Amino acid sequence: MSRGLVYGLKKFWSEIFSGDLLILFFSIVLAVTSISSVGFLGDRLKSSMQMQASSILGADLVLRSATEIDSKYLNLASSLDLKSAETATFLSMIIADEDNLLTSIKAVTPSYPLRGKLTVVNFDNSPIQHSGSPPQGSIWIEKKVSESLELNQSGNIIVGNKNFIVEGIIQDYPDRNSSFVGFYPVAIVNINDVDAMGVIQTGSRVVYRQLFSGTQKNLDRFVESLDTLPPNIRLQNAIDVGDNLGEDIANSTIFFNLASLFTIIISVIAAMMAVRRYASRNLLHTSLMKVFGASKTFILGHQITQLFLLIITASSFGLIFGYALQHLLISTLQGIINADLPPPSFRPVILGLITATFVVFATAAPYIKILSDTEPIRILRNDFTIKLSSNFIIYLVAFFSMFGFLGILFQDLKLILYIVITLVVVTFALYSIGRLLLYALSFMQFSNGTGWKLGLKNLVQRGNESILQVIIFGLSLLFLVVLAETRTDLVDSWSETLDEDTPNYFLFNIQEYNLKPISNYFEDQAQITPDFTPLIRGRLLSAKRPGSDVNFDNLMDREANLTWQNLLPVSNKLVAGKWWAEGDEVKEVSVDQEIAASMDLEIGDELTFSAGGKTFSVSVTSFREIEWQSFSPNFFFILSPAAGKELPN
Amino acid sequence: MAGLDLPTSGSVTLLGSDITKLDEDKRAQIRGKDVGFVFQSFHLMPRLTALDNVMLPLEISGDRYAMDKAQEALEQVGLSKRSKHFATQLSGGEKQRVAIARSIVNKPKILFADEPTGNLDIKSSGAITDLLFSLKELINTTLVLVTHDLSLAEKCDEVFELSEGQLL
Repeated sequence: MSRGLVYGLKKFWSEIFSGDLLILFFSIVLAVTSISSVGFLGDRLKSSMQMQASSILGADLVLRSATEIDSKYLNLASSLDLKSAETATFLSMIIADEDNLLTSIKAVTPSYPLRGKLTVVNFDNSPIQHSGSPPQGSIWIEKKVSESLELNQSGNIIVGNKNFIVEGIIQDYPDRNSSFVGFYPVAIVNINDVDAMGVIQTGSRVVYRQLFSGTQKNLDRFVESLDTLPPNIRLQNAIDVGDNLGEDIANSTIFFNLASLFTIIISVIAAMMAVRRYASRNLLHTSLMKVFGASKTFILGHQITQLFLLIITASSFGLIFGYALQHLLISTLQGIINADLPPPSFRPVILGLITATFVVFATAAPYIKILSDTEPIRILRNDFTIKLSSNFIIYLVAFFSMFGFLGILFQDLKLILYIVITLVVVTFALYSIGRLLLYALSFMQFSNGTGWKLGLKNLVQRGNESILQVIIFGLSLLFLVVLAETRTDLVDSWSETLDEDTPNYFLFNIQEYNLKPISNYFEDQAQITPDFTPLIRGRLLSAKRPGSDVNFDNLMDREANLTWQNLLPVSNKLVAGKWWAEGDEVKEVSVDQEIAASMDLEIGDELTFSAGGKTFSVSVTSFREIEWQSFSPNFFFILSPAAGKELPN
Repeated sequence: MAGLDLPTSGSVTLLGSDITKLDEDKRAQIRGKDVGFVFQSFHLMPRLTALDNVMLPLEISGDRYAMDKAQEALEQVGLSKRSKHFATQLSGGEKQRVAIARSIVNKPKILFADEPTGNLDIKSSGAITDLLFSLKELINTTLVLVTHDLSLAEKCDEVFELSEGQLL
């Protein structure tokens, strides 16, 4: 085989420039450009999402609990080369002179934050600190705090039993959250001051967090080592948060994926035709080589070397074009993607190389076999044709391996199946139309024809090739139409996703006596009537199935927002049970179907909640599917007004 | 006879080997080392130059001096000045000269020529015949000719006549 390799190496460029390999070369360049441009784009968007997600958490991985978290997790992280930090967040009144303000106190260790940026400045905006914790006895506050309490630099404030000196203003910090402490202005203190404050006592509501960051490999090992966490500790992963963030972007890349999928199909079809031509032409060359002493392994070596070099060179061009195209796509998406994207990983490069290898070997491998098996006697017979029956098998092999490959590449078997069915049906329809046209043309007289008549005569004479061209042209048009339609659909669905009156701001903690004035204010100022939703934090205490002693082991172990209302929210869909009638006096609850499934709830189960200092039981009467992206307030649990009317809001 | 195909019955001994008992790769080995071929339709590779075409058998056998030997063969057929021309740029007679150079470049013990003048005009035909017979002497090989041209057949030492698949 080695002589064949050397021969293939020597003849590669002359083969490329001779034209037979050129179409195959361009097909591969096209396929690799297409798949790598989408790959580079997706990869950079995903990395960017994950960086933003890490910034939201302040870390790559967070353990969160309402009770103090065992330090063994910090030791474990340290043994796995992970960086760690701790925070404890709670609400406390801070007092300055005679003024006071309910503030979210964030007590942090010096390594905080592990991801994202903490910016603290002096009152004159000169920078002080970009990470870490204030020294003991000092406090950093948000501008809202300094304004409310009329504080100056080095002013004194009291939190619990401890005096603090104001050291700076927090301009920016990561891990802002929407839990109960998220609505209040923030102050950051050193975690070693917490005991001296004496504000955390039994029953205090505190969010304890252990933050971790490091390489993905070490993070994975850390998660594996965690085994099963106690039920009171929640694990938050930046990748999960990033996946949620990236969902909308991911939807938009579906369009690009579809475009690149079609491009690959067209490239494969073009490659199949190019390879067929290449193989037919190469039959003479191969037969001659056999006559002059080439063995089967020599021919194989020669062909494989050529195709391998073809993959390398065409992929290199394809990857360069793909990277450039990705830049172009990003510049056109600049309005949507408002971030500096990190550089891509090597994944798209590998994906491009795999695509090129697939395109070449799915289409060329069967021909390589035909070429290496060719008999030298063809030279004497002047027979350099490839049998149609062997073509059929080749096309079948290429067809199935192409869809197998696309299934793996795009990981969407349903989409691939739809495309296969469509392709088969459309190909059959185009074949029938082509046959009918040729049949009709065969009755025409072309004997004294010139110009267009000669063209038609040629079409009839080269019947099978003409039909193949009709099919390929028809399929290309079909792909273009599908892409144009998908693009329109995508743009429409984007614009339909958010109504014109989608809210930009939400007001929280409105007391009942404030409803009317606020409503009046908005009616006067903006001629709109705001929707008010009652809201109370509650905890699910237990669940019971009447007439059964089933244990509910997976109950939600954290607080959740509860609401009550007469009507099913627009962004919710009832998937089981019945919604209550207006004026119904039975205490009922409607549960999000996913959370219900995770807790093994059934219609008719009885749930006991604790909220606003009251304990009450409600019967599960329906399950809902929630559209979380609707920008409406959504709830895991919606109580019937009969259940909610006794609760404070 | 040349080992390009196998008989449906009987055996063929070529240069001491019963080629009907050998597999295709072994037969190819014998052809590459000791056999030369000239065809009626020349069968030059159109995308290769005259020199590359002549080098083909030596490149397959991995001969390090393929280029020098091919140049020498082209000189022997009087085409050294056309060595850089592509096959498509040559006349019929020139093509057959290149084909002859290719057939003798490995100094074969036996040279098969299938209707070597069948596609040539009378003038070129005469020149090619002379060339073939003079080269046969020069490289001391056995020339086996297949032809319908009786005048060409008469130049051979031995003539076998085939009619309807039967040796007469």
